Amino acid sequence: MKKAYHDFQGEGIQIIGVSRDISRIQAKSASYPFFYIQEAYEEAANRFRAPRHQSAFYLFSAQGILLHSGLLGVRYETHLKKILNSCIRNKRFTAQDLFPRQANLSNEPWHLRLEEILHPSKEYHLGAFFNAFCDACQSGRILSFMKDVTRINPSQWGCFIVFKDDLGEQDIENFRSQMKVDFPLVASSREFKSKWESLADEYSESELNEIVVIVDHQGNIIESFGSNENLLKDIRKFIFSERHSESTS
Amino acid sequence: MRIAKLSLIFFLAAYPFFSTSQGSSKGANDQYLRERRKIFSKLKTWMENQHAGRIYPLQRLSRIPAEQASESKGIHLKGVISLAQNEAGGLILADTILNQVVVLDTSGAPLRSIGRAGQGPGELMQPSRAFCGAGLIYVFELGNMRVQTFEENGRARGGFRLYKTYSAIERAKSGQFYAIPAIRESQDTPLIDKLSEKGQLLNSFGTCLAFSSDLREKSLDNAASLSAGEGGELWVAFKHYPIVRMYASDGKLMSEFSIRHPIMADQSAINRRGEKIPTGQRAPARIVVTNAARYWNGKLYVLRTHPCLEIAEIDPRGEITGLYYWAEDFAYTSLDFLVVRRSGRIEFRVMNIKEQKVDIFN
Repeated sequence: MKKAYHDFQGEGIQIIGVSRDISRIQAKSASYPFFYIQEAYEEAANRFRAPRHQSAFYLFSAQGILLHSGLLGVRYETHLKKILNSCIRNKRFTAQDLFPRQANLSNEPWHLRLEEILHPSKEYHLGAFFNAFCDACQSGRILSFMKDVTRINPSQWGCFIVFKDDLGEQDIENFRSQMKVDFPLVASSREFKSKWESLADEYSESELNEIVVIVDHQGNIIESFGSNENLLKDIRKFIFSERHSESTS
Repeated sequence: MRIAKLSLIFFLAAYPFFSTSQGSSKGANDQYLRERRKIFSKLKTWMENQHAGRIYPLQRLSRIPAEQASESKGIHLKGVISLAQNEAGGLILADTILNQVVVLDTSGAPLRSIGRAGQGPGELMQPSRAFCGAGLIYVFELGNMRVQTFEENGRARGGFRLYKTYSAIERAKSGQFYAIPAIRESQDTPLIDKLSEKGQLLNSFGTCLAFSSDLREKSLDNAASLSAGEGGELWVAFKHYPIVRMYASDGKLMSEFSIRHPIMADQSAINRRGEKIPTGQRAPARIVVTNAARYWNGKLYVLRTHPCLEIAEIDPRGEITGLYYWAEDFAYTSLDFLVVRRSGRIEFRVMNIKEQKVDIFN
């Protein structure tokens, strides 16, 4: 609530908290104004059909039109911020903002060492940029897809993963062993990490996670794909398009 | 006063995610209790007919924190689902909602709380289980997907990241971890991962129950409680079936048996048919046949809460050697417990999830 207020107070946002026990929120409310409903919790929850076992949010316009509603995720930065940015500011991150076509990954802002991530005999590479990974999430599905691509056409396709954070040797070893990965895993350069974080701050962490690029054998970006529910479908469509069908069929 | 252009309304969850009985209508609750009483009657008849002389009604001796606020010693618990015990006999409680670990002394008085919400070193997100060993506390965080190590004084000592989602994790005395992957990539994904004390996957072993060909259903079929024995062996009690396995530390299957119990058999049959039960608040779920299992002193103890709190003591061949029960609350909910010996008697310390108290029974 506090973060939403601070990020969007310029847009005239009003925060209303509805809870059975508002005391813990009140204790933290000194730095931002908000209205609260406590006594009429049940009535309000019934009217909104709000779930009782998971927190939820409802965004209304000044005219009382419901703009968006949903369940609250664990972290504001990865979940609600993206929705508010999109609904209130019509602002969405696209992968091309960070990975424009034709740019080379060895250049600014990425400063990746191509010899560490590209296999000299492969024509194309799929590269994934993760600031967080879990096998149950889209990042896990991307990894499975990468494994499939290298299994189906190992002679022409290679893969690599870039993690935002510094990974120690043990972290990399753990990732390799737990996820059974045999392609390059690298940490981002300091400059790129800084750029990555500033964009995550401007947009949201979830939009800056799970970005996939297709690069040629010289590290030039052919296409980039941002995190969305159609990500894998989009990549598959692109890879199996006419342009690349020779290398994957 | 500025006129608001937008209103953002937050409905903050009324109940913890694991509560099952609150919020339901009175009629539904009455029906639920009637059904539980009926099942209890069947359970009691079976116990008396089949296990006379091995039935032990439990008495609740005390609770931590105590009922009276004046005696609760300032302990505030909100989302504790598991228990651990340190070498001194004190309790370690990981709170998934308050994002902290509470260390209690042997009398149940708080010594300290460790961690605060966050992602950095020493910070916690959804800590769901703690383990003790070598004077350290190991905390499994669901939210941050890692195992973090703390000294007993609360100082963070590092840890390791987990990239796989695990539905259950256990630490053996050797320092290695056993874990059950929650996501099954393929039909032949093994049941258990064994990780080094630094998180490296050492090997995977065990064949999964194959009641369903659907990978998501298969993950549910293979949810289990884990308990490591003194010799490094691993006991696996499946959550939705009365099946127990014991693996040697190298992953070799040493034994497998089914617990002969009429209520577990009924519930298991429903799960086998793929039927789900409505939960009132969330998606329909499987019936939990085994809530928790602990291997202690040569016996496996299996905790259930349907229809009431019941702990079956089982020998390594699968024979029931004791049945402990407490039928004063048919809505009792627990996912973890400890078995200790106190003054020559077995004592159970059961995490009462609904009321957020550790109940001490003997």
